[in-house]
Order: sequence, then C-alpha cells, then structure tokens
Amino acid sequence: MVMGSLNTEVEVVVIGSGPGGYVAALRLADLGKEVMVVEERERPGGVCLLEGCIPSKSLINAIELSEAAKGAARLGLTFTGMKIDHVKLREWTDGVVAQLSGGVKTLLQKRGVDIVHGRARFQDSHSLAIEGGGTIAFKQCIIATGSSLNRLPAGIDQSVWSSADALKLQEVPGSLLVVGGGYIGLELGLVYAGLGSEVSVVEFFPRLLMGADHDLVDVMVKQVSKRLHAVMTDSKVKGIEPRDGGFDVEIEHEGKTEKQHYDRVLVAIGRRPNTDDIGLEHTKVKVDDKGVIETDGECRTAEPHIYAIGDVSHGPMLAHKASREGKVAAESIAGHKVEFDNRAIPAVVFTDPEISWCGLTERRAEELGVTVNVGRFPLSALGRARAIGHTEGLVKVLSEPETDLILGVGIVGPHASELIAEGALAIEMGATLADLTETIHPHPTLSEALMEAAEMAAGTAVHVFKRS
Amino acid sequence: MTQPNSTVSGRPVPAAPATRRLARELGVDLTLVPGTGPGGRVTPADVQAFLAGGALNVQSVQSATPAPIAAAGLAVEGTTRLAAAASAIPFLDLEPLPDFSLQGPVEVEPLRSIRRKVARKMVTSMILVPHVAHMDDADVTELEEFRLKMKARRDGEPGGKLTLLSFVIRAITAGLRAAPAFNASLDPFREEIVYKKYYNIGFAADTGKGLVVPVIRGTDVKSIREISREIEEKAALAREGKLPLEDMQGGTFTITNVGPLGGTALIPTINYPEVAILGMGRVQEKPVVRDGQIVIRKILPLTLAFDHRVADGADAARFVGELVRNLSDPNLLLLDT
Repeated sequence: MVMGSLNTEVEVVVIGSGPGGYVAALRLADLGKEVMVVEERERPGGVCLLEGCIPSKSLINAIELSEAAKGAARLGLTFTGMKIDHVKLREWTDGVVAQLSGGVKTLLQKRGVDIVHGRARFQDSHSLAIEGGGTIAFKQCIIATGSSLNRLPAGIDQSVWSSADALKLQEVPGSLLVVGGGYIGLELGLVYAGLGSEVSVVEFFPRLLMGADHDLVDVMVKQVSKRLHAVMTDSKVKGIEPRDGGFDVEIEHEGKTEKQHYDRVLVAIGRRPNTDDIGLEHTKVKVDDKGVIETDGECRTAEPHIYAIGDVSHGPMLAHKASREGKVAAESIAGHKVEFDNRAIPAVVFTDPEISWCGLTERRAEELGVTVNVGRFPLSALGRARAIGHTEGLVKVLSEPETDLILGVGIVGPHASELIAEGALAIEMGATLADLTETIHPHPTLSEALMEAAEMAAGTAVHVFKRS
Repeated sequence: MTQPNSTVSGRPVPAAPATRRLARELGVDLTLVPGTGPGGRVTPADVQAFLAGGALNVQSVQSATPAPIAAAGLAVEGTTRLAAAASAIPFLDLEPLPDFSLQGPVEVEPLRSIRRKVARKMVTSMILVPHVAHMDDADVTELEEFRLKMKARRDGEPGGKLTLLSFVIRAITAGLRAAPAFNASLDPFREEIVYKKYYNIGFAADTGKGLVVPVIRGTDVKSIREISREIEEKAALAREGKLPLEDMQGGTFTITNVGPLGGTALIPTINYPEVAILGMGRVQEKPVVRDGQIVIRKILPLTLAFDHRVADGADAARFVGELVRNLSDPNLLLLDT
C-alpha cells in the first residue's frame, strides 16, 4: 500500500476499487500490466460491497429467515420467543463486509497492485492529482468511480436517511417512510418492516419498479403489501419538516395534499454517476447531461487511452455489469480484441418474493412494436414450489415467433435471483425454446419452471391444461 | 433499468459469446454470416466458412442471410455487402461506385453466368494467393520445324492439328513430375500441402461467351497426338457451350495461351486452388545472339505465375528452365518426357 505524498508513473491507473475497478485491476495485473488503484475510501470494494448489495443481502437473509419462521406455523412448526437483535445483526453484516473487503485487498496485494488512498482528479489527459498530495502519470486509465445517491431537492431537510444510512442499522424506528418505490427502497423497506417498523412507501410514478414487467411486479406487490403499512403510488412528496425527533411529510396524491408524521424518512430515488468532481474538464472525455461518460464498445472514452466502466458509463448501474466491463477494458488495454457485447444483463430485485429478468421485457417489446411469443408458467403448478409452500410466482420466456430464439426471461418467486442465470446463458448462447425444453432439469426443483415456461411457449407443456 | 443489446428491432445475431469472440478476433462482421444453427444461430464453423469464402463470395452471403435478420431491418444489401468484405480485410476500403450515367451515357449489364464465375475465381485467387511471376523465353525454332513437318504429314486426321499447346502440355507434365510443388494445392485451414499424383492440365479457352477451362486428364500417359485431339474436341465443345461440367473440373495445372491472338508477355492469374499457371505469349521470329552471332529464331515468351506459399523463386527458375530446355529441342521433349 502506498500512502501520502508521491509523484509516480504507472502503466495503468484505475480510479475506484468497486466491482468494476478492482476486477479490471486484477485482470490487468494478470495480463502483465503495471497497475495502480486509487481509492478514496478506507477500504476497497465500492458501494456494492461496503454499503450496497452485500450488506443489504445479509440483512435481507436474516429478515427472510424470520419471516419463514413466522410462516411456518401452517407446516406445524411454531417458534416462540423469537426476537431480532438488530445490534447483533449489524455486527454480523459488518463482519461479512469486512471479510469480503479484506479479500479484495488481499487479491490486489498478492498481484502487486498498489492502492493509493485519496480522491483522484485529472490534471490533464495523462496525469492525476491525488487529494492530500502527489500525482500519478499514466499511460492508460480506467475511470471506475461509481455513483452516488440522488438527494432530494434543496430546501428539504437533509437529515433524512440515505440507503447507506439505513444499512447502518443504527435504530429500528417505529414508523418509516420510504421515498422511492424502486428496488433499493423496496428491499430496505422490507428489511425495516421485518425488524418491526411500520413502513410506508411513496412512489412518484403510477407503479412500483417502473422498469419491470407488470405481471411480475403485481405478484410481488400483492405479497409485500401484507408487510407494509401503506403503498402510495402516483404520489409526490411536497415537503419534509423535522418535528418531535421525526418528520412531518406532505404527500400530494390526485391533487390532494396530506400531512403524515414518520419517525424516520428514507430517500431512495436513484443514483447519479460520480463524474462531477474528478477533473474530467481537463481531458477530452465526453460526459452527457446526466453525468454519464460516453464510451464505445471497448469501454473507451473520447480519449482512446482513458476507459470508463460501471456506473459512470451507459447502462444499468449494476455490479455485475461493471465487473464485465472491467474485464473488457482490461483486455482492451492489453491489446485483445474485445467488446462489451452482452445481450442479457440480469436485473434482480431482492424483495420477497424476488423478481429478476434479463434480455427483452414485454414492456420493451411493446415499446418497440415487436411481436413476441410469451410462455408463462405459474409456480402453483410446480411440485417444489408446493413443497416449500411458496406458490406465489411465475416464470416467463419471451421468444421470437419465427425462430423460437429466446429473447427474454422474467421471473417472480423464491430464488428468482439464482434462477435468472440460466435465462442469461440461454440468451447469450442464442438458445431456442427447444434448447431449454430438451435439457433435463432436476426434479423437483424451481429450475423446472423455466423449462416449463419454454414448453408453454413452444406449445408442448404437459403440466398445465389449456382449454382450447 | 435498460437492457442494452437486447432489442428485437435490429436484434443481435444469435451466436454464443465464444463465437462472437472468434468473429471479433477474425474481423468478421457477424450480421453478415449465414447461421446454420437452429433459429439461424451462427456457429464457430459458420464464421470460419464465411472467412474462407463468404467475404469474397459476397453474392452467396446475401442469398443465405436468414430472413429474420432481413426482417429486423438489417437487410444485407449493396453497401452492407461491401462493408462485409472490407471488414474482413484490413485496409480494404470498398465504397459504392459513383453514378457513371451522370458523366455520360452508359449501358448496364448484370453480372451473370460465366462472367460472374470468372469474377469470383479471380478475386479469390488474387486476394488469397501471393502471386509471383517468373518469365523466360523458349527458343522453339526446332520444335516448330518438327511440329509443322509432323502436322503436314498428319493433317486432316483427328488430332492432326498438333498445336504448339499440345507439346507444351507434354513438356509441362514432365516438369510437374519432377517438381511436385507445382502440381499441388495448399489447404489453409488444415495447414497442409496436398501433392497430386495425377496430372490433369487445363487450358484456357475463349468461347465467345467468356472464359472456360477444359481439362485434359492423365496427360502423363497420353501421347502428344492424343492430347492434341482432346484439345480440338474440348475446345469445340466449349465454344458450343456443350462441354460437360466434369471436363472443366479436377485440373491440377492450367495453361493460358493467348499467343495466337498476340501479345509479347502476360502475367496470368492462378486458377485457384491450383498452385501455378503458365502463360504463353505469341511465337515470334526475333533476332537473338547465339555463339556471338545475331540469328533469327522463333521465340515463345513464357510466364509462370505461382503460389509463393508453396514454392519459391528458385523452384520456379528450375521448373521454367527445364521447360525451356525441353521446348528448345524436340528430341529432348520426345525422349525424356
């Protein structure tokens, strides 16, 4: 590790050590490049590892366990005296994060990748100034600075929680308002509901999870509504005023404004790329009006020796997309002929039940005016779903009518996050319905649902009866 | 969240990531590769096949492009096909031709039949094969004297025309037996050279409808008279457009004889996948120096174009040198071949 002031030269510098940056750095090192990583936080791992995917999933796991225990009475299992110690849970989560972050650090060190601490800003197209002193001259650079949470407009009290604050699990409020019905708001809202808070969700748009297909979202909303105090769509937060250690929130719905009191308010209204304060104005790197860096298929910016990956470049702000781009950028720097030409970036929402999809959605097909063949299979017809007592859900396969090529997969149900990987593989491979239906899926598992959905699309299903 | 690369209008070509990587590394544009897998899926073999012939054989690419791709607005037409060829070969920059009718009256004839076949063969050969041309002059004074004497005696009989070409075929066959590299084919995919132990010599014939190359089989076991008779028969059939397909196939070496039409020298294009082609210029009486004296001799200019992947300049010099010696002395030709 390199600390403090230095003036150094390096072949490649990677700014940021999130799932994009650290993967790129490791790959570059393996390809024989001299690499340096600049990280402004104390630990490597980025938002995903430190205050995003990883801590949220360890919290969600605990809540799902407790919910499963509560729902087990119908199976003849009664648990008494169960309580959640949120301090213990916080320690557990911190431990998970510390282990993984330490792992990333070790991986970097073992490959001889130096980590420089501080904020990096471009001085020109070939050097970075590190806050706190020092400069790094580079031949090539990868910008992997990630994204930050969007804030509410100025004038609204900023002591409300961000998702990072919520993940710290400092307290369990009596009531919590989640502003934003996207995946972060819903996941964290369910965590706090599970911890005992009375949770309400307010969404500006008419539906929760605007990007996802309605049929998937409807199944999830029906289930999670049982755990939430209120779900307010088509509603606008007009004002948040601190009062009595909590907040008075004015919410406008259908022209009427109502004031409600909440102990805490969590704002989860999206993220924006961290491209404002990194000195891009001293380079020819092009940034659009949303702060997104323009890149080509190899993740190169307008300056061919500067790359941008992950949340700062176009596409969904997802760790797995950033990691793949990190590999593409690293291999491009090493002179390989590579391209980020992925067709399926799986989207996953860790609600209960989970939602996942990849490739084409029905919404998108409709927007494009494209006719698709949709095969839907309800989990209620699946043996394993019955056995585990989770029949709420469905799997659907979108295929091209002329060719049976699989264009999209959507899932809502238990383990949707795991099941979507097969859909992503099918789409990337250019698989047809027959490739799915003629692959033996283990019985009795939830994975059979994807095969059955393909059977539905192909018109060869036997486990459902279709009235003709 | 948006899903890049996943739209149906202009949806991506179905191909596995490993296939896409292969195509990228080979510089092949996947949208132009006809997929043979289910749903038009492109396989690694399809990419290889396209690289072997597709980029050059653009016409067949167009017809073989799966309908859904065309329907998705990726119709493979005109400039796109040019782009295919260009993308396969670095620095090859093919642009659509200008509208010549803006400059003056033109007549447009579609490229069909023989003309199109010739075009494909020649482009394939010229792009794929590193050509080298080796030139020499054969003094055929004695051979011509002997040939005309024999011809006078046999005139009117089948094969009695005893053209110079039939003697050259005989001499070439002898040369090929001694230098197998010129009777071979290079397989770039298997990375093998196939030496052929049979001798089928093609000769370029001008049919009035275009170039046809009839093939004389087994020239190592045929007499000059038999060869001469076959040349007469096959050239006549070719001119009538009645030459059976099998008589145009299986050649191992080609001779193009533009001499009777004139020309001091020519650089022929190899009849791919053969390794070499011999061009014969016009036999002319020329002043040459023999033993310090200027004498008038009948000179046949020869050019051997060969595939430098298979043979080198020295091989060609030896091969042509031997050919020139054999043609300069009919006794040698008849005795040794």
